[in-house]
Amino acid sequence: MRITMFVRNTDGLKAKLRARTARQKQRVLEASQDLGDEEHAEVVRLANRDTGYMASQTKLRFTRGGYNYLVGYFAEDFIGQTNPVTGQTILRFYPVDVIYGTRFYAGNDFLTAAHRLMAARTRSRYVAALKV
Amino acid sequence: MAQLVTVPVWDALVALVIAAAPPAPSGLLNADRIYRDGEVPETAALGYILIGSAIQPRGGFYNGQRGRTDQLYRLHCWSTTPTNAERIAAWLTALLDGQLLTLAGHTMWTSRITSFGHQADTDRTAYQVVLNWDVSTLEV
Repeated sequence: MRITMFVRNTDGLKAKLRARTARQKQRVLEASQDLGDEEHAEVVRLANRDTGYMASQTKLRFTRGGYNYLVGYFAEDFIGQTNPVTGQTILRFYPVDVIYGTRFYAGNDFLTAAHRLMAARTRSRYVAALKV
Repeated sequence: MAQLVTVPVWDALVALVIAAAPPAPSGLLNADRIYRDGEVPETAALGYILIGSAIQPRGGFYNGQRGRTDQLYRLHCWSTTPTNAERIAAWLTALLDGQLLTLAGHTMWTSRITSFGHQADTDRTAYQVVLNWDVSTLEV
């Protein structure tokens, strides 16, 4: 015994679904671009400042064709570079110490803080992007 | 800019750690055991918990706002070796995860510990394990 449904022609339905998916993908891509820029700005705003070098080296990288993004710091932007304000060569990837802290300083994880501040907006943007 | 509401979590945490039963394994923590940020003496012997400030909660939080707070705190477990730092973190997790502290003016209903990471100090003579402490309270 079997139960079957005969559908005469699904071409129109498939075309609609494909068009809808294409629109959603484009909106998700646009949302990711906007949210990446906003989270980068939030991290720069919250970053600890002494000479301002660390904040100026905050980087935004898009991955997976622009659907994902990373905000943070790269060791090569610090180790061996010269801080233009002090003129000194940087020997350590010190954002790690700022964020994780040292044995006398508990750290300031402004990356997580920025991400948490963005969380509600991020969720609502992606939900809106996926609407039909 | 959003400001954090001061919830007297730290006092309750310090009291819990000092009066902990069972206490930390012998030799794991120094006599003072726990410090707030900015209060670690330069001569402090290793083997201690350093408590950080609250990280900005989701959506921000304005001073004077009433109601529920959802805050993320960082707990730094420092020791002379990575292994001992892990042992302090394990002991603190067992002590605090799911433990509802008594807070003045607040009812606490969430206390969840998760690992955030580990890191050596700048001179590589001290090692830490960093824990996330998710705390939810309701103002009463």
